[in-house]
Amino acid sequence: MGKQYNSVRAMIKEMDTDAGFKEKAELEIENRQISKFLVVLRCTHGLTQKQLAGKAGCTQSRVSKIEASYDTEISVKDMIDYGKVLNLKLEIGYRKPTVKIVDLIKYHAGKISFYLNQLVEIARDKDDESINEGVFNFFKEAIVNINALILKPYSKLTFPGKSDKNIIHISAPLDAMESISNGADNTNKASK
Amino acid sequence: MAEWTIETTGQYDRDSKYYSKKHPEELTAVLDNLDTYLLLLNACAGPFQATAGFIHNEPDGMKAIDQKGSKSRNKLQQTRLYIYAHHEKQILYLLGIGGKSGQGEDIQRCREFVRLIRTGG
Repeated sequence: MGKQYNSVRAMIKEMDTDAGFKEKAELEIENRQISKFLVVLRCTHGLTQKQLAGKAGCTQSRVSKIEASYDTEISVKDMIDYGKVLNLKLEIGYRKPTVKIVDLIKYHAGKISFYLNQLVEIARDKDDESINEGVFNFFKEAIVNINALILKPYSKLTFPGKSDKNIIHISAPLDAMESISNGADNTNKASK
Repeated sequence: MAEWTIETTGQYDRDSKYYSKKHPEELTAVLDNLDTYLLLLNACAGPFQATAGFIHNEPDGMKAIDQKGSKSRNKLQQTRLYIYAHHEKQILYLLGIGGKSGQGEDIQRCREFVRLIRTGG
């Protein structure tokens, strides 16, 4: 089989063709980020263009036009209308194009930490066993998933000195801890 | 959740080279729609019902992405990019590109690729 790419733009960059085509194609994709985002939002909510139009009180051709628009042609009202239909709040943000990827990762890590602490606060405030259990189970999943999130791209890296050995991924360390503690309980029971 | 990877076939590489020279606007339009499809794959946990006008269901789980939605002033020719999404491997295979006239042959050729992919060939 052929080459692998992480994005369409990366594939276009590597295409065996003239630079003029590549530039135009990349620009076309670059200029439609918002409309694509709206298509994804609609599809992930399981709606057709017609269904969304019905809920928004406009025609299907209007939705089709929005989803084929360049970013400069989409109004804030269009985005608010999608939000209303999909029960989502619109949040708008800016960031400097010079922001480094590592700083973005740190920013999101900070946000994850903030929300995890909020979950802990909720569990403490409510003092409800089912909520406590839900939060505890979420943390167990998050520990595994966040590790996997880092290990998967890391495993694709090649650099001098990196061991050829495969990374051993322990899928559920807390389950293992539980079974150890259960084992200890059983041992205690047996000794009693 | 891990991101999807695109993998090209030799047939796709040849077709895309031809289209970039002979039908650049059509190729740009299908690649733009492919970008949307990839965003959808990355946004959805499993197989999903993509309800965008540019996606067509084809035999053996293949999909065809067409040129619809382009803002070109010229009337674009009917163009189809044949793809196969392998959900277990999270690889989106690009099988080939064709027009409306040779559609039957293109589909048959791409189905052979899909059989190979499914049998791990």
